[in-house]
Amino acid sequence: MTDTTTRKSGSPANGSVIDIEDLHKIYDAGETAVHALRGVNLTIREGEYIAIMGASGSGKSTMLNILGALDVPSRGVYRLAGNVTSRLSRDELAQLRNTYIGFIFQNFNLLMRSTALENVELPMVYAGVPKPLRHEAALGSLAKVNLADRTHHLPSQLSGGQQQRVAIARALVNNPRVLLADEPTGNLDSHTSGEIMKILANLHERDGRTIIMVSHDPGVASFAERVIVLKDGEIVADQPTPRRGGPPVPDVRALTLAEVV
Amino acid sequence: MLALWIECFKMGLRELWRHRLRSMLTMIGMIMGVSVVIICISVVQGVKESLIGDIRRAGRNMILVISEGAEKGRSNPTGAAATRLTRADAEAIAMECDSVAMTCASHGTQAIVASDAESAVIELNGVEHTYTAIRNWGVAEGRDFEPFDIIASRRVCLIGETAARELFGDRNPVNEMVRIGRLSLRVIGLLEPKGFNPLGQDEDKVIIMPLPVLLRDVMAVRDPAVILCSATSDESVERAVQEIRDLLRQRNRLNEGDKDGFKVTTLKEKEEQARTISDQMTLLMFFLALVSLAVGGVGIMNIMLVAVTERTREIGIRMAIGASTKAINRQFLIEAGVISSAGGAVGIALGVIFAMLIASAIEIEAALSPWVIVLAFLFSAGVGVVFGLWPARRAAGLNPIEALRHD
Repeated sequence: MTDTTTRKSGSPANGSVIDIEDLHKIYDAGETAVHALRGVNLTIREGEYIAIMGASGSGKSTMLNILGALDVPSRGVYRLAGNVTSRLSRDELAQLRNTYIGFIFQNFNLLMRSTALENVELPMVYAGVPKPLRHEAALGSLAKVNLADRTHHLPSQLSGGQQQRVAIARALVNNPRVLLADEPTGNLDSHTSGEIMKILANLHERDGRTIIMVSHDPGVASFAERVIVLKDGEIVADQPTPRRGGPPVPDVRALTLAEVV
Repeated sequence: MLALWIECFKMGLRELWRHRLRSMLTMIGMIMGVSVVIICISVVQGVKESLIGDIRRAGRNMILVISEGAEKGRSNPTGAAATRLTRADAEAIAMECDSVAMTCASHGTQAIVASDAESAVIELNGVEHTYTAIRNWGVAEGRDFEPFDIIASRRVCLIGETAARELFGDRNPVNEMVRIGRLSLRVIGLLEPKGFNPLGQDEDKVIIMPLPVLLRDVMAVRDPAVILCSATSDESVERAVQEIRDLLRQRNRLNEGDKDGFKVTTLKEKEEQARTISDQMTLLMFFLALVSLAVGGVGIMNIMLVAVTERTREIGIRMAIGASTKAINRQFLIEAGVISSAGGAVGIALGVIFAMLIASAIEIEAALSPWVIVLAFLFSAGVGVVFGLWPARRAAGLNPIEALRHD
């Protein structure tokens, strides 16, 4: 990877960590091409807490895959901390994810046969961090999500909320520029959801983390500062949440019936 | 980088342990392949060593001159092209060929031999007094032949250990009498045990008597069938063969173009033959073992493909977190290598044990060379890596998005 594509501090002067210009994603499904994203423009600044909403089929998942550098756009530009993903190879994308992105998934996606500590160490294994450093950093990260006493437990020995906390610790451990949370509370009860949302809010407020959260739950989305609504592959709303003086977060579950705004 | 390798290795071992039964079953192919390699190579090489040892003990510089008439069968001693060998030929070779140290005219047959208590079919050899020296054969008890025993056709004999046991049991055979038909011989010496010859015959089931006695009183023929010669040294064997051939052609007044009518062979040739045959055997075994290793490898490939499918989600997670295709590839390659080299290690252990058991059963020493063991181990690890290539490529080629969605 060249120097220009991996500079950790490399971001445009406007303080944005993510820049999306006229982004299209077209899936070739045999005869018919599916146009999942149709010309999305979006800029996310360092330290923002943003919620992306949309009903199923709105292009939300595609957006998430592209934001997470798991996929590249068909047309247009996605710049993550200055790196244009469509120019990168598979392995360069892997390194980009490893360095810049911390994933938090709806179903936690922990390695079920590795302990909490080993799961948290994993991103550093692929980053080539030597063992003693890895160990220390993983312990610190687990302590941050209040799991210092569960380091040697397997995911199956932990509750759903604890598993998601391990996943958050894992997402944080390489000190990424962006936390990407996909329905982080989708598999949790309301009490545990609240705990997870509090951890995310703390990460944003105290540590100034940039968080992008994908959700279809207006209650969860209202924890963010800014909400973006996708419909049929386009952004139909981009507004502050009530916490920042914006209008109420729209309920995307009703979007198929009525137009927003 | 090294950390990643160690990590992969540990993960491989852990996966192996987690699916103990499956791993064991998968390893059976490797275990069999590798143990067969070890067993075959060490047993065949052991047989070779023992054959060569036998030949060396028989006397490496020994040369056999065989009458082709005698070789064709005793029923037709006047075969057209046959050249007669005589005791005089033997003497002439000893006198005139510079590279020949000793000669001994000889003939042999089988007959029923009786002691006062037992009887058995035993190999009879008629020889001259040089025989034990040429054969490198010692006398354990009693005495060896003296020249006068032969010249005077004395009715005495030497007896091999097996023959002595069959005829006399545990008694000391020296000074006992043996009967062959109406002929009675006194045993003057018990030969040292010599064991089995390369053809698997017991060389100790033998009675050795003066050549004239055998020819006249047992076989009723005039001439010996074989002249045993001993070259002055290992190096002079080939020269001696040439000298013997030239001398015999001259004595039999053979013209250029006439066939020899006799054959001159050396044990050096036999040694070469033994070496060649066992090396070819080893090679053949090696190819058979390659086949079974390949079968083992396919088993590993199969189980690795299953593992890749089972762990698609895990692969997706690893990719999302930043594992490169190389890292995924390496993880599965190492896992395949761990299975196959574990199989190889077990195979080596079993192979060594069985090789020793087999060797002791057929009374040879297994030739266990460390480089065969090292090679077998490296080879088995290599098989895992080679047959793991495709499954690993498949794992590394997965689309991370689809892999993450896989249940």
